[in-house]
Amino acid sequence: MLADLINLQQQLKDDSSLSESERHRRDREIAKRFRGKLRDFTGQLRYWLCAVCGDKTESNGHRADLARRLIGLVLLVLGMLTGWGAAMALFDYDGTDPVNVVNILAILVLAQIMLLLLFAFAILPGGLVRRVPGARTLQAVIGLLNPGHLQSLLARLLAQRHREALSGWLGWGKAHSTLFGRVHKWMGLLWSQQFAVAFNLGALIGCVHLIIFSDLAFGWSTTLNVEGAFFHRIVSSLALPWASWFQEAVPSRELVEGSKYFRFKQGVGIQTPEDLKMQAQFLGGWWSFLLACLFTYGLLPRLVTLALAWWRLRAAIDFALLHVPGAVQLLNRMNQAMVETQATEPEVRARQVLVPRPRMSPQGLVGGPGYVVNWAGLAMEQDVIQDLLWQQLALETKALLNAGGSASLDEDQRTIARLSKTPNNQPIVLLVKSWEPPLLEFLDFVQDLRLAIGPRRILRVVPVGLADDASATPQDFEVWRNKLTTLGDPWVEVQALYRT
Amino acid sequence: MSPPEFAVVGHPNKGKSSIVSTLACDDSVQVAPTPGTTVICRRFPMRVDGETLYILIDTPGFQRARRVLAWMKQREGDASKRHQVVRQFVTAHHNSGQFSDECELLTPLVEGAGILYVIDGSRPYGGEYEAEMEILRWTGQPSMALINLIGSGDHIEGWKAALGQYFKIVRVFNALTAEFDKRLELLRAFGQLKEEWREPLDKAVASLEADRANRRLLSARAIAEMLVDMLAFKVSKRLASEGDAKVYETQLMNQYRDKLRMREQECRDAVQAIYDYHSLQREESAFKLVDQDLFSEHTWSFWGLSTTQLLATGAVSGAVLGTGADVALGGASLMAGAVLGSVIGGTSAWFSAKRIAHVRLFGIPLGGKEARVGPSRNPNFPYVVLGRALFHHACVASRTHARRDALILGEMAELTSTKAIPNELRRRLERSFVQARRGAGSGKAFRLVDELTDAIGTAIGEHGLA
Repeated sequence: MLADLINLQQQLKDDSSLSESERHRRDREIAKRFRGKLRDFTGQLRYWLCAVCGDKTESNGHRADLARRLIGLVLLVLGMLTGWGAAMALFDYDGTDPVNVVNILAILVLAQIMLLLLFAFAILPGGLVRRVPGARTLQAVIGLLNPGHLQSLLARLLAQRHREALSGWLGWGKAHSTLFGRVHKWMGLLWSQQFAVAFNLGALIGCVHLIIFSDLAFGWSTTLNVEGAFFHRIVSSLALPWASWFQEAVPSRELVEGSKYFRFKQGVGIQTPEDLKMQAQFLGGWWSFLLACLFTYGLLPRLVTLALAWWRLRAAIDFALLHVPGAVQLLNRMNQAMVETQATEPEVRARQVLVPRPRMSPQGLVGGPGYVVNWAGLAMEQDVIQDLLWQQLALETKALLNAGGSASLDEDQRTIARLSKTPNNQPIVLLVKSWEPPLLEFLDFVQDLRLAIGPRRILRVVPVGLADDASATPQDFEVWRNKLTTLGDPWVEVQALYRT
Repeated sequence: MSPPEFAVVGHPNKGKSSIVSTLACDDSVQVAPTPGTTVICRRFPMRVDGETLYILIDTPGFQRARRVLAWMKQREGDASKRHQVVRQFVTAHHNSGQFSDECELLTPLVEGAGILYVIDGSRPYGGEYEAEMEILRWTGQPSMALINLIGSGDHIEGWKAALGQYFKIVRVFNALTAEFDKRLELLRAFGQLKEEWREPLDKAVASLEADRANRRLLSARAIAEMLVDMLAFKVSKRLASEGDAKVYETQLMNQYRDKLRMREQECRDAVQAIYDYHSLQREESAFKLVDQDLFSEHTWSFWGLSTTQLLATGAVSGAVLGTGADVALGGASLMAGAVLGSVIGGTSAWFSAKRIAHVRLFGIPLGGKEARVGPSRNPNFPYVVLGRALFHHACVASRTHARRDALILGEMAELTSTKAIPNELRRRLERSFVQARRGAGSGKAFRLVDELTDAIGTAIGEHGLA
């Protein structure tokens, strides 16, 4: 139980080294195998833990849980011994004064009822306690009486690995008291109730042992001025829970009246051996009442509080289990379908090709005649193109040819053939759509053209944009310039149209 | 049956990778203005619990479409043989190097993938596209044209007229701004391409919707956890004497604010991770409005509640506290606690609206003093934090994974402002805020987170605040 909590928190922390998709895939697979109820989230978490960690008995959680149980066991033994010792002391009878019933009732009944009330106060919920002034302080003081505090002392008896696992978790839990405060509280109370049950059991066994193996005489005596009738009313009230079905354990008026003794009288008025025998039987009549009291007001309530502490501890652990950092996300991964849309393999990036970047032709643009190729069907009228080139590049268009776009490859070749026959000193301007990327198809054309016209004739590539003045955006111009540079041809130049 | 595959094809630099990035919610896809960024096909399988429902394939763009078409036309038989010619082309040139891009993009098509042909509708149509559209027609595969909008121009009609001659379905889809619903709509349209593709695509859409709802819920929880932490947060320092309080006041206040800022940052990181944004951190300067300091005056006036809302909210928190007193008195107060509480709450909200927290001194039982800042009692504080968180969530949730630029903040900021939260929901939130301010004890903090998650989930989901 506690092991699950510690192991879960540890496992979720270890899990952070995995990617989200790795975790989701694994957790979803585990969830598919879970056969419990759909909304049994703690069950799911435990199943997950079992699936991920297996049955590791050497985990921190198991060590801490074992330590917890060992401490509980030691407290049980201690409780038994204390209870046995208390019974021996209270039922001590050396044949002089009878065993005083008042003492037994005060220690084994009244004090236990008082402790039960304190226990009830200690388990009041925090929200309620906060509203009552001073209640929190009182609760803290009551906490100090808890025999569960012996755990730090008892832990020293444990093996080092168990002791360290438990103290490690207790320290961590204190630091995260919002989440583990209730677990701590109920673990302490469980230990205290284990001790209390064992105490009552020890007392009961001690009592039975003395009753069976020795000859006890009971009486009652007090310095206070208490009449037999009043004391009878008290014991009758105490015997109410079993009065209807266990009459033998209800002291009669005669027994109460007859068993009152005064110390200075040296006994309870025993005169002869017959009297002695009769009186011994008569005074022994208290034992069944005392055993019933011990069972009803000692052991029984403590069994109930032990069960309550166990139940609340389990609930606190379940609650903490659901709220350990990462548990909500884990449940989400288990219960939500894993939707993956991303690529399964990394992207292969285009290899950066290193090319010579020769300095471009130093000639710049000079006015004069030249040939123009409209690549890919730039949607401009012929005269508009001519005007634009004249205005911006002082180019006198001798011929406007088409290539690329919807033109056929044969048309491209015809254009190349025609340009190869033009004078070598006249530039060729290639008008391209700046918004379209430079394709290999265009580079093929430029290379074919270069082969046809020779190596030292200027080819100017002019990206035309969609703006009113036909200028290209700086980004588009850069794309074209960079791409054409990869040709490594110093006589190919990318020319920008200036903005008007 | 193998899952349907969709090859996203087209001219280089027309947003193929952006569309894939948006549909696959994958910001690892390289989106660059340089043509030829994608050199080999990359597959993006959409899987639900390991079952592949469809596969998107990002492909390189056509580089020598006219040459490819010319090669094919030389081998043209009747129309029924055209797809075989395409296959022959791929087989013949697979290792040639001359048509590596074309072989790469045609391979999935000859293997049966559907065609998603992408063009940029912000630029005019040109004849150079005809060759590639013709090649795609030769493959005989089901196809759809997507008009993406990269720039600001509008040439959609021209494109529609041209595309309509080659593709039965033509849709406009902006990869950068497409809302989640638009993405689902597109996926449904994929299902219309072929009868047997409808079922897996419908299933994929349903899974994506459920996944989206889950991400919203996880985000709501992250925000709720942050709110509970921030509302209960305090810093303190033990002082030797009362006079030291002045010395440490600024230090404590700065410490308090820094921690809260850090917590807010953690929440943002968590929300971004929920939506699979792993590299958004570097671009966080884009969140100009959200990035303004949590404690700046502008932040408070923008994100906080109006004066009237503050008064009403203060009244609610006062009433919550007052009702507690009424309950404690077993109703003997005739609800006077609630009434008085609301009046006091409203008034104190008015007076404390401009102060986030202040340094207070407490006596320590064993002597000495402790200076403490927080938890914040300012009624506006949780709303400022919540407003910023909702807005950040809205920015992240509505962002597509194709975007690499800064966020554009428009009307959404107003929509996600806590001023827009309906009164009933604000009352629910306020009740939780009151509890959180009180410093929820063991266990209660987690219940508060659950309650707030529910309320914030409602704000995000039903009221469309994100």
